[in-house]
Amino acid sequence: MKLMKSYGIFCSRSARFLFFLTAVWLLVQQDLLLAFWHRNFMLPTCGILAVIEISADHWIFGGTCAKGAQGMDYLMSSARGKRVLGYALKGDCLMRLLMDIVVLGGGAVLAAAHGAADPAGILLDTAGMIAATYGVVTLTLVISRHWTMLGYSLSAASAGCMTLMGLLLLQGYFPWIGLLSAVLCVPITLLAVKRVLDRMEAGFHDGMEF
Amino acid sequence: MESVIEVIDLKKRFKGFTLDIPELKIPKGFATALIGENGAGKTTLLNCIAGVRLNYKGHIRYFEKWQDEERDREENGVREQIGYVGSGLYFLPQWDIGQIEKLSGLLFQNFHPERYRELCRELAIVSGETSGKKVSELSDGNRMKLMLAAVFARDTSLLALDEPASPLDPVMRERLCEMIREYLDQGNGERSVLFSTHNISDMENVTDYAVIVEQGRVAEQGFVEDLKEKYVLVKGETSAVEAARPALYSISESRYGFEGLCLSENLDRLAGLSVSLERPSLFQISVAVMKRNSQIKRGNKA
Repeated sequence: MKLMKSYGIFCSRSARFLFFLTAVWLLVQQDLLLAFWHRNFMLPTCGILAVIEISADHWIFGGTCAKGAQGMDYLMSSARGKRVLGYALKGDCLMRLLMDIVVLGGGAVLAAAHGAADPAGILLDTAGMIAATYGVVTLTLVISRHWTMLGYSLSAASAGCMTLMGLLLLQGYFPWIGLLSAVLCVPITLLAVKRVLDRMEAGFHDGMEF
Repeated sequence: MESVIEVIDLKKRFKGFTLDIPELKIPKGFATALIGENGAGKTTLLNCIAGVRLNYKGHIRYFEKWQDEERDREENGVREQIGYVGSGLYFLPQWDIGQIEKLSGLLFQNFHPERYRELCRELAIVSGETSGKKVSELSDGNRMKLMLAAVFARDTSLLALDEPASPLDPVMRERLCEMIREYLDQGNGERSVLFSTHNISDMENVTDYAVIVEQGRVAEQGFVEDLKEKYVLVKGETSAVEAARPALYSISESRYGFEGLCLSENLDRLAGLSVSLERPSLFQISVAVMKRNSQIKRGNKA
């Protein structure tokens, strides 16, 4: 509850509109493709999802790791600032994971339910895609949050998208990559949260140490 | 004198600059102005007091009760009691006015959303529907007003304001002085304000106590009325300048004459000279103290 409350405050109305509405649109698009379901149809959906998630982050946590940790003084002046920011960052990870599950997993579940061949394989395959999408996006955010300019965030989104495409194509040949992605999601999540909190902590310590 | 903040042997180092304050007491129940040149250490001192910069040596005592190591414990409520307004790095640029209201409610127990909304309207931060306007879309002046709205919407005991007047227009500066005065009056001696400023003349009518900081050190401090007793403004013609110079604390010369500040205790050294004596303003005292301690090279002989 605390995670979502804090995240809800950091995520502005415009970011929510961009984030959720386009995600719904993607879900509809994916459902339309269900009749011809094949793993390769999911690749553009994963790519667009990654671009949306990385771009939307610019309006939520963009610049929080930038030099001088701009915009942190208000949070730093409160005894609860670091905790609230931590909750918001964890809420963001949870929200993105949920969205990946809904958008990518929803279609796979429907496909399996409608008698697609090898339903267990489809679900397993999709789980790997979800893990890879979440992992690559989260890792890209660790980098893109160092920039304050939208252009840089969009470049990061393109780079993240291409990395994800490559990873998913490889995953088609080496299914264990999906499992590896799932395992790596935990340290990547911890890194994404810790990086922003560390930058905030560093903001308390300007100048030279005694 | 009761103090709201007591600074003991505070040192903070940067490359080529050290803030070094052996002792400083900010009086409780008054408005204290931190005055000094650019880079004198005002912001650093305010940031240390507000607890947004921590790697300093020495101690800061809050409300005659809490040490700085106790400041961050939520149960002590020290940070709740301090309303801090900082530089341009205060809010994330992507936040909007509505987000800041909700965030403030999470960050501070003593935040009143309705008072915040009222202040946003009253200070004309934006016209019409305000909550969707982003910080990055606001002018410097409106950004400062938004910071002020966020801190004045809280029940605090100390306001620590870094250069609040600088980006504001003259009308808003006057309103800021009124807000500070109302804040102090409503506190019945329990509330204090500490602000840094370059706009000494504009803020003089709200300043009770002044601390003049130069090159990381406190060069002068005291209640404004006491400082105005301590110094005397001396004016004279060019013919008297050389005779007056040794007795003066600082001096400005022009082709028509000179103007300088003299310590009251040295007034007898001006006896017999054709000079006029006036009560100085805080601006004149501050400039004189700053000039005497400044590293800026001037054409005038001082």
